[in-house]
Amino acid sequence: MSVLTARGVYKTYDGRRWALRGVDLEIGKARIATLLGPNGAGKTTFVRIASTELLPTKGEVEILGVDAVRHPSRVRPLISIIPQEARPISFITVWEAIYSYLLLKGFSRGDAKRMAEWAMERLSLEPYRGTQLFNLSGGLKRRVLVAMALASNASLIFLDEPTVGLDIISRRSVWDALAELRRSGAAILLTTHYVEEAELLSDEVFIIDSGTVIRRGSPKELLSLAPGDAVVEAYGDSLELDEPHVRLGNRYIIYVDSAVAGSLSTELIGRGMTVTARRKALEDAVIYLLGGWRDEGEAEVGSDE
Amino acid sequence: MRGRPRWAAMSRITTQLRGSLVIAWINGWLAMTRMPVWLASSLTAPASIALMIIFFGGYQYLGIGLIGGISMLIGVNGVGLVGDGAFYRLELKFQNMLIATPLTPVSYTLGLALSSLVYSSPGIAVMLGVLAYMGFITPLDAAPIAAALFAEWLSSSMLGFTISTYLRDTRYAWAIGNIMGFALGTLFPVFYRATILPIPYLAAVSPVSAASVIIQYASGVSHYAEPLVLAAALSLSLQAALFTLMAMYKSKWRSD
Repeated sequence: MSVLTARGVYKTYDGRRWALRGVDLEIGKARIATLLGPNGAGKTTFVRIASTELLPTKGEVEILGVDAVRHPSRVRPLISIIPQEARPISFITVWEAIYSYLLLKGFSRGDAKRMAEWAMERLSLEPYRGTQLFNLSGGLKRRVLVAMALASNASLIFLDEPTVGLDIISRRSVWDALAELRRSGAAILLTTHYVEEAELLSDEVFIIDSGTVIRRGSPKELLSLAPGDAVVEAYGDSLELDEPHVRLGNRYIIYVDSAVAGSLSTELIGRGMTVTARRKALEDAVIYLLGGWRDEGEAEVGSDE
Repeated sequence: MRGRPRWAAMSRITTQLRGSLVIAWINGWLAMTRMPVWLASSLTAPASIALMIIFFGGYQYLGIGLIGGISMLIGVNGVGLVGDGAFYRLELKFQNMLIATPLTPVSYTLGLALSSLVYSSPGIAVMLGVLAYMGFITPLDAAPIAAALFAEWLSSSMLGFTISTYLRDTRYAWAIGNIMGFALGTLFPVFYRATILPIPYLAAVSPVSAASVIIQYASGVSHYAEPLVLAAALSLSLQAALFTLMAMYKSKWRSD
């Protein structure tokens, strides 16, 4: 049974421009699904609708078979959300943050205490139990939020850009926490700008652009949708290419087989260009599928063949 | 180890009431005991006006100054929820997290309102204690005073929270809270007798001055005509009901 099912979800805030234009997606139990896309693509709008905070203009959202649009109070026991840029209250301790959240979620005091202890142990937060949150680093604060979600025993957890602004060590600690959430059986809907994060964590990635899902699949499947197994990046003003490529300003991302990456690089260096060659990553595939991140300037996808 | 929320087992009212108390515990008790500077800050305006009235007016203004201080403290902390509500929603996203809980907007608002009462309680206790010690109030006055303060607390905090849900930037919240505190607490007759005004019934317009008029009358500090006191009581009751309904039906919780 699917934990989250969305069908034809549309949203407009002003009646003229569409933030979402018919989003369809499904997430199964103990799966991490990631919404990936440029700024303004509609990721946060979708999360707000699915987590019952925002009403869609039209469309259906079901959580464990319950209509989340018409019966939000029936699905709220089943979900937890860590919104974009959420921060825990600063003057309370780590233990108080998790414990009070569980009381608000409807746990008895005994269960709330037990679950708070369990989540702190799982996320290595015990050394900070009595520490007020303003004394913690950004990464630890995020981990506390994830601990709140973990302890809530929700079937579906929404995490909107949980690692934005964190250093790599803190990000890894949050990734470990997310893996723990999945092991606990929860389904997770994650939004992120970090393609590496999506590649590492996700069972399924939904690439969303201009309010609609343009591609979906496992990281491996999406990787295979861009040609070749290697990428040559070259910087130049005007380049005639036979190979499939994306142009981002004066940067060309050229999709080739690794067998020809060396010879192409040599040729381009000979033409006075700065060149790097590497194995194709999910980020390259996403750029290819999106035709370049919108906020990095105009992009052209093409091949001169 | 797994647990389950006791949705089915706990009655709806118990769940909501407990949620309100948890919010009041966090935003009231823990905030007050760990950041006493905010407690001192919330006392600054009412205490300074009360002291000034007493210094310049002398002993005869002690009662009216302290009653004004109590009324203004509750009103300032109540409308101060504009700041707390906006901060929790816009900066911490705490309200957004609570949407995915059984807590209703009314319970959340009540929790924040209770926390404002917790913040006000030390100042109220001191000022009521002085009033009782000096013989301005007796246990017989307790019922009308408590009723007036209750209605004022409900009106000001529900109004403060409702406004907070419409703000898009926290910086406006502090400013609006201060302006409202000033307007409700000093423009209307909170620290002086309503009869000084050309139209004494203007005192009924603000919940803070309406409460002040009722307490002044109940304690015998000011002698008002009964229709004025009744108008203040009626207005205060209506405002408490109106602002509570506004918080229930007009505050933004789930957005369109």
